[in-house]
Amino acid sequence: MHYVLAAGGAAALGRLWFLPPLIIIVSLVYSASRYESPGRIVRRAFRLCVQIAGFMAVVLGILAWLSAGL
Amino acid sequence: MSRTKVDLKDPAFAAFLAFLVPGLGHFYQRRMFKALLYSACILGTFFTGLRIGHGQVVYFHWKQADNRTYAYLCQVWAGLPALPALAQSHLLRSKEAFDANYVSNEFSGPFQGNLLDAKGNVIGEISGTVEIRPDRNETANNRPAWSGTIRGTLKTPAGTRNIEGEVRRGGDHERWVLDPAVAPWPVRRVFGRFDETSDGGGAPVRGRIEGGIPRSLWDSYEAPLQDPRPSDSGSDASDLDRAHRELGGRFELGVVYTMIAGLLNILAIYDAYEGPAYEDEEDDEKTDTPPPDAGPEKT
Repeated sequence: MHYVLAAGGAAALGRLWFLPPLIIIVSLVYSASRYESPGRIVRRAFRLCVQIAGFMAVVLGILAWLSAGL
Repeated sequence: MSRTKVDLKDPAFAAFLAFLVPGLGHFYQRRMFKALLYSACILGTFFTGLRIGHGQVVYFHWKQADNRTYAYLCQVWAGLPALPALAQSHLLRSKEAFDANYVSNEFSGPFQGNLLDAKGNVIGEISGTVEIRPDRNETANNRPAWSGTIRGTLKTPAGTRNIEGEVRRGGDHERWVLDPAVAPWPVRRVFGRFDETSDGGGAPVRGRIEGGIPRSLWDSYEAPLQDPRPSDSGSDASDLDRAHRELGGRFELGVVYTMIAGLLNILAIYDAYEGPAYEDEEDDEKTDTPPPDAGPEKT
């Protein structure tokens, strides 16, 4: 049973690799719709990227903490 | 009202172009960096999602209330790459194009498959061509049926030889099937009973055949997954079940990627119509250093 759960967890973690490209793309496109200068778009996208990743890391930490005893 | 000094040319036309192909509106406005960025990001996300979902995650289906594709309301904003789904829906296709075992006219195509004996053991691999035609006698009994002729080579452990034979549906068994003409899978499966008609130098080979005919892009790109019907039975009754069984979590991932691509293009369309939300000078007041000659104007 534990092996099944571990395999499911590994598959879910593997799926997390699909997330970073989405964060980068959403940041770039959103910033491009706000600003015109390429340099400013890239700088703002980087900042937004870090903010989104940080926010999701916090949510992940909270969920992991809540589900630790299950 | 636009707050930018960017020359938007004809904003409505640019927005229309941006809808059709992400980045095209900005290319028309000569905003090359944004054109490249939007097209690479949005089209890249859309086609990556389509690839993750093996082409089965973008389709339009609205007739049955339980299985409406609300995701398509987001995906459609990706423009031309998503619009064929509308053409593939029942709106522009005949109803029979989605029916298994229905053949309106004779057709032929390349065939690849296995020949099996009555017990299910593989006799060999057949490759060649197949001609499929409607079986008028059976169809008259309100039972869609077909038969066909396969010509090609049979490759067995003993060697390779030419073979020709008749293939037909051969019963109501769920495995005897010719897949619908239109479906999101690249191969149209042909499962039927096989009787050799060529002279192979020994007893004619009989058994069953399991193979497929490649579908054209028009018959598979963004074709809808079909709902189960009351007459369906067996594990492959619903296309949606089959897609979920084959793809697992990748189905949802593909849907999410393509939905996000469509939603992002809404931002690009608005940018083509109105220009950027902020003038560059308005941003980063705290971080931008003043120019060296800045200072109070002397009178």
